[in-house]
Amino acid sequence: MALALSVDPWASEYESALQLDEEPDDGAPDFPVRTDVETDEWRLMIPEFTPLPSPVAFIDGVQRVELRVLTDQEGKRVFGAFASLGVGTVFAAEGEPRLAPERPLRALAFSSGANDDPWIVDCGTTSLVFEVHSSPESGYKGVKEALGHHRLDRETRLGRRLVDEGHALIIMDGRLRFTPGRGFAVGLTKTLHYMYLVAPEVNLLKDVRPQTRTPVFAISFKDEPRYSWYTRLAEPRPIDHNLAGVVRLETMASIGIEAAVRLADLTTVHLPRFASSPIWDARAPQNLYPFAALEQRLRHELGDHAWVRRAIEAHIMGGGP
Amino acid sequence: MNEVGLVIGTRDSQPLEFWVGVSPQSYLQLDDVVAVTSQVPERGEVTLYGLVDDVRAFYEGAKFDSDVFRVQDGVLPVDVATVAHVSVTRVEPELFVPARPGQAVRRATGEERDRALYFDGMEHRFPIGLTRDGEPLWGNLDFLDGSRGAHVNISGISGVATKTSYALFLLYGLFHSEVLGADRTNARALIFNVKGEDLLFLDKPNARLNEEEAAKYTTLGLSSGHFQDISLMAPVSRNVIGEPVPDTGSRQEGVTPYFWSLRQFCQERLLRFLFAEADSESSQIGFAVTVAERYLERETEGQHGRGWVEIGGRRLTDFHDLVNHITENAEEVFGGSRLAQATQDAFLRRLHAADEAAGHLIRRTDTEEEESRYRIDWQAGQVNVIDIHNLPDRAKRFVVGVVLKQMLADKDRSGQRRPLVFVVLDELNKYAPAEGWSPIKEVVLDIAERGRSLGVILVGAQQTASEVERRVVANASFRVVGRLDTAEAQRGEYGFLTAAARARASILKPGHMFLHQPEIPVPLLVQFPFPSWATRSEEVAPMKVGEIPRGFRA
Repeated sequence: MALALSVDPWASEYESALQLDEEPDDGAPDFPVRTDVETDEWRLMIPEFTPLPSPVAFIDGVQRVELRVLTDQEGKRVFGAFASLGVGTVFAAEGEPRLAPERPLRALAFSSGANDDPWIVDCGTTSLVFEVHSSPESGYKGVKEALGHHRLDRETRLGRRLVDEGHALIIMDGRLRFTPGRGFAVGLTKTLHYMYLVAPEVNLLKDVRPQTRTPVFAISFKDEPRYSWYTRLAEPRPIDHNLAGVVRLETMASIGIEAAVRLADLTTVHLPRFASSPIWDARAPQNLYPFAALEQRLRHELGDHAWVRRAIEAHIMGGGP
Repeated sequence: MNEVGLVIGTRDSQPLEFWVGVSPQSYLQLDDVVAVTSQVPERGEVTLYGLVDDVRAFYEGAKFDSDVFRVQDGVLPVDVATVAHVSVTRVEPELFVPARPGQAVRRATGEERDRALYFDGMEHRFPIGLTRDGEPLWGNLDFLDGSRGAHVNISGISGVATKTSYALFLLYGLFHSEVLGADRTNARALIFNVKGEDLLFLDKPNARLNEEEAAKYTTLGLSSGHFQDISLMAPVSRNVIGEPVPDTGSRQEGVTPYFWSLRQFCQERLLRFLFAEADSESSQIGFAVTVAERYLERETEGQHGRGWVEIGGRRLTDFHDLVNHITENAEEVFGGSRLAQATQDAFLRRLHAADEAAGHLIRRTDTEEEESRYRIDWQAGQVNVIDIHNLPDRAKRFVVGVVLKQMLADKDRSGQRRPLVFVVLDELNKYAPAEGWSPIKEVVLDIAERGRSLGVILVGAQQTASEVERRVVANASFRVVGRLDTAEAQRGEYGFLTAAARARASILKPGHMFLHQPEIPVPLLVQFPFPSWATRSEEVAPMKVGEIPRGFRA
């Protein structure tokens, strides 16, 4: 008999949003999950409408490797990459949401703790300054880590700054990596690497519809206790698998359970409106419109890839810095 | 500096056109004049001047047309970009390089605007109207008065294109500014009134002129008012016994009736102008007309001092008599000319038709004084309005043909280009149609081709330039279009319009025209002020106490 197949809706050039059978790299539970923090009864939550603060700030970042390089430092083989990074914000309010990209950053990332002065590369009408960043990790994994750290650091700094400037609600793409002093911030994870819930609680997920959610539960990541919840951004097609469109949100436990529940309600009610359509984005609906548009803009601001790459090659050929 | 944006590099910048990214803090609209200065290696600074002829705004970052709703919902963030296309009018110094992307573009004002539109080099300039934001626009008189070119041609749909109003505005500017210099008072205008009685009130101020419109005249260095020194002539009324009166409805006082005496008709060989409908050049009718003219001239030779003629001992007092005489004596008239009977018959048929249409314009007079009083004197006033609107087409052609021929003969005799004569003639397609030949077409062509050296300036107008003899339109230095039919705007006759101007020509409002003149490579959008002279009886200001009505003055 033929198997009953269901469809993974993301475009095939992307990995699936479901990575549950992979080794959890940064999601390993170092703290027992508690599912009784909001309610004793584990059931579908249907929040009431509450108005969204305006504007909501969406923070995201992109990175692009321009050219991979190799070198030796103190007899060790060192991997490296010239890369460009961009982070920015979308301020969404009624009317026209505003894009606020930061200036793009250029980085020369190294593995194995290698170090160097910045490389200044002439590129057309301007010159690009590649600051060196490195990770103690060896191999290309170290390069990726150095770049990732740098980008996340920039995103986090931007998030902190917006909190300081008094923005009421900040939504970060990916995990939340800072504790907002005042105001609120949530992280939105669109690729599910690790399922915090186990049976029987996990069975509720397939019943979560847009504008409903699981109860808030407590987890911990890198020793920081957090509150988290699952919601669905858009109704899946009948052929899609039963977790299509499900995302996990989290906030810091330090804001207290009541505030966390308010945030959970708010995001559950309002985020489906921002969910992208599959004709617009290959990772719909999880890649929200603000993130999709911001990434498109940030990538554009990195400049033409072939042009930058050629400028770096010409620079290396000319004898380096 | 009046910076409005930067030259963009995502669309090619060329020596004669480029695109400007309009800064969000500024704006550019159609017809704005801009300038951009670039540094050229080894050559120094080059400034490109141009006119904005296209402006576009769009979302950057949106993929689908429906994204606008996502944007308005506050969901999808995008940027708005506005770009403007500039057609280059002038490059100083003449080094044809493209404007460099990234270069600042500024709004050209004052002297720089004059440079962009070549006003700085116009020694003699006359007002042609205002921009939409009220800046004056000028035409180069050298291209109008015959020194380097002549003639104006105006096209546009009847009613909305305001062709006659614009022609009159041009005349008003010429006659009420210093541009014609010492010749101003001697310059003449000959205006044929073809529609309604619009032009019978040129000598009255317009009571509906408001302050805002009056200010436009001031901007152009003109005072707002009515035409001075005008002479109004209208065809004599039919079937009136006794003193001749003009055939007009709304105004009688100050209007001179006109007609020709039988003697003038015979001796000045005016018969051909009754046969002025377009014909093929090979037609024999033309020959029949010449033969008949010769006969009439010969038979009436030496008769003067009275307005009737005697032929073969018979006194002929009106045109009807003349027609009958020719019909009865056809053999004598055409004797020896070997004209086929069919041609003679055709000639007579047309002659009878002409009697119907224009017979009343040729009648007896009793004295020589009367004879000259009622014939059209094209230089009676500075502005001579000849009303023909009530006449049948055949009679219109007769009047226009006779008057133009006489005027040309007078100018030929004087041999002087100055003072200038401006001839305003609407419905050119009737007088100089694209197809066929007629004596009046010959006269109009003569003006178009020789007028430049004779000082006769044709201000011609028609609904569609494509229906007018090509050489007449081609000889006009100033080409003007008002509202055009969309299909007509696509024709080759309007090649001077840019693509954007063609599209706009079909939505031009009354009082707005595109004008092209030889020095400026792109057409300018001009608006001209509301007439400060009355164009119908309702616009005539009530008379002041103590004012003596025209016609009652000594």
